[in-house]
Amino acid sequence: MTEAIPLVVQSLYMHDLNGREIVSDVSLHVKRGEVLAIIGESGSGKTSVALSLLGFARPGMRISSGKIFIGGTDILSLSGRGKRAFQGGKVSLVPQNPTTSFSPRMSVGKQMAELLAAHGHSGTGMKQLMRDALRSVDLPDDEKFLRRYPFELSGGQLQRIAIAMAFITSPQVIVMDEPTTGLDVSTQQTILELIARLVKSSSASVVYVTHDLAVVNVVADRVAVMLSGRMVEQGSRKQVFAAPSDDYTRMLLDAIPRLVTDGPAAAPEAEGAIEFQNILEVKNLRAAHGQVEVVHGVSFSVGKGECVGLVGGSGSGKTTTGRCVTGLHSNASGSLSFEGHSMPFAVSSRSKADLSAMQIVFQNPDRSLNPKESVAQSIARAVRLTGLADRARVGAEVRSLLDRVRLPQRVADLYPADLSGGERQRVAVARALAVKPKLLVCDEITSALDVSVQAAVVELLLDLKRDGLAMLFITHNLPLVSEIAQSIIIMKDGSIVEAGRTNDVLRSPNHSYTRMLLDAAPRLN
Amino acid sequence: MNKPLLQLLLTRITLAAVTLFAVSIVVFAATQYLPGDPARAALGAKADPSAVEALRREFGMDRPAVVQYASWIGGALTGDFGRSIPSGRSVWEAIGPRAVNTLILTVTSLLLLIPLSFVLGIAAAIYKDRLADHLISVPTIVTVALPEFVIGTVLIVLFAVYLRWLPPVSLINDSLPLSSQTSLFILPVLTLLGTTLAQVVRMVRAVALEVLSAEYIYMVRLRGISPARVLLRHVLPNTITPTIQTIALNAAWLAGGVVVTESVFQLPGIGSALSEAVINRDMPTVLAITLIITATYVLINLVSEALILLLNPRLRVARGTT
Repeated sequence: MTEAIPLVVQSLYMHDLNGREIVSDVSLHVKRGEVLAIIGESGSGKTSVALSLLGFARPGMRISSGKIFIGGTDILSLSGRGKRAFQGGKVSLVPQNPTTSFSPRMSVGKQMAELLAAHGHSGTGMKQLMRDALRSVDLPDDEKFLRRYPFELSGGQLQRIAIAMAFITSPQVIVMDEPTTGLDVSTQQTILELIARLVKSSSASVVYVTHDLAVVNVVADRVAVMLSGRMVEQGSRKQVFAAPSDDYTRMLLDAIPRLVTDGPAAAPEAEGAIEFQNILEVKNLRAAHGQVEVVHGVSFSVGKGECVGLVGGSGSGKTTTGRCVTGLHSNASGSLSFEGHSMPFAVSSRSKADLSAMQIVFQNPDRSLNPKESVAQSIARAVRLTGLADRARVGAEVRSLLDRVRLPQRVADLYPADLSGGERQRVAVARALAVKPKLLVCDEITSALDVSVQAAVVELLLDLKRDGLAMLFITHNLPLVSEIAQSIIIMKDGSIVEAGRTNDVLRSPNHSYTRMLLDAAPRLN
Repeated sequence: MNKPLLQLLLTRITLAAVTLFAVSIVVFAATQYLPGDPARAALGAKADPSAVEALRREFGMDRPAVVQYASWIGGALTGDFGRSIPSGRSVWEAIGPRAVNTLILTVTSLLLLIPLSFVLGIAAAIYKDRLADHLISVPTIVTVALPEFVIGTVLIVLFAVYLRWLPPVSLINDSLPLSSQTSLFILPVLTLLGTTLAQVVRMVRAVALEVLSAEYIYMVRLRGISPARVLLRHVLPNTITPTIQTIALNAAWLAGGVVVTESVFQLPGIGSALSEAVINRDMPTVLAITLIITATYVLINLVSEALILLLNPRLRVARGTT
């Protein structure tokens, strides 16, 4: 039986070095030419399962029992040379982060040749294979390209090479570990199309690991859902999406942001009639990095209690615009007016009141929170900036802020490392709220989070908006912004290409780039 | 070679020349203010003042400091360091054979230091927290804490006094060819190695640990590449560059630190020549040796910086655009 099916996993168990169970009793099989998507949140064990298919466990982890048959041979029973013949030869991996997955001091051509040489290729046949592989992923196949070093290529180009390398040895099983997560939305789309195309024309069994359910819809034949190391549901894509049998799967599906155009008109429509009094006005903003201008004369405004979505791909200038507004990027010209008075670009020339009235929350809470400070210390330091000095009152304020971002009081004494990504981001939001801002700039604050956590953070932002906080929400995620923003600004190459009420922009986009972004946003049906 | 790289190298070379020039001024000024009169030191405390004066005139020490400096640096640039004061021999002639001894000592140490520290450091990283790591790490941590004269003395006690394998002192006989006296260099080389190896091994181990846990190393392994190739083509090249600076630091230390080791073993090298010259107030020799040591120092740093630049593919392939 196991010989007919290229990939069969039988009751796989994995433990960490402290004996904690990371993966329990996972069984699966993938037929020739079939794509199985494994979905789950970070920490669900999905990546551990994926890597185990290559007979590999990350340091600190071990495969304790189970069998993994690749073309009828249990890879876990192999070692040394026998195992290496399978790795890269019969089972290959497309990694999550292309920029850190290539050896930095070797040209990409040499790395491709090294792989082929390890699996018995040589001479002109090898060169021809490399050329064909590069062409199949729409990359140039000349000598000059092969001599490039990883740092000379973009993330998208490197991921194409990684994909080419995964297919080049015609393996029976290909494992893809979140291959689009590290890329921006438009690159994501083209890579996804490329994968779908290659998978269709190949007879390999593919395991595709992701936390993004919408992506699953594009590539998968069957879906397996993982939660805390267990497989809670497995079935055909249609079956899992249309009639999920497990509560957790249903919760995951509900948590996905949907474009308002997909369903009945969402909340922002109801508020559409309200006219907002402007709190922030940006006129003809130009910003440069060194000599290179990256924002070319952008004008927009944000009203009191309004949420404006600033949307664009990487390199569109959206983050730089946000940084100019908050005073973190002063190599700029144009005019900023906040609460009716004009505001200088340099953060050092702004008044204390203006500084606290405008706060920014960054994309990655791992890097914006001090790892040596407890949650309470972090928030209390911000609270004391408002002039509050009394210990008891500072403590009370910290507790009420934790309530406001819906964090349990017990986290107060914990450190960032003890918290999950979503909890950390809520601490970052609480810290920003501590100085009672009137405008909150959110720079991709949900990008690093899982869908379910993302949904909770969005809930929180909607709450804050109801309390009258104005928001500039910077993101590349169009469905997400459609859930919370009243109006949308679409940026491309440093200029605004389209702006207007969320519903108008999404239902009848005028600019081709907006339509491209809309098409690029993966959706569920 | 491309333009930006060439420019970077030229900048470094210019800076090295400037450093050397500045050092020559400082060293010269220091010898001017050093207490004690070379002429009096050479002729003895009871010497006739007119004889002292004559000697001063003979060596040009009666001229203003600036003129003395100019003639000294002019000579030094053409390889003429003047004459040694007590003996009247040319400085080169006096320190030449000794410089050769020191050169053999330090270069041998360095040639052993580099491969040994990579082998031991990478091995310790691969077998982290296992027996091999402890066998490498414990002795290196102990020796890093010991000054070279302690290491030298321990080696003498062990190999010369107890085992009687090697001579306790390295009195090199100038009339015999050096090739017949190689055993005299073993203990001094081991001493220098003992004091430098530890630091470089620790550094290699730390860098290699980081490289070994990098994602790209896992990816290379999961492509079925053999462990030997992973080590030689992926781990080693990425370990070398961050370690060059530490190796250069130790090489530079060897150039100066050799003074103590030479006196422990009474090896007639440039280091012992320097201490003798200071005692004799033999200023031309002091100046020459100090300048040679600093020049070596500057040169080692220059070479290490050039290596770092040359080994960096980002600079190697830089196409003149940013």
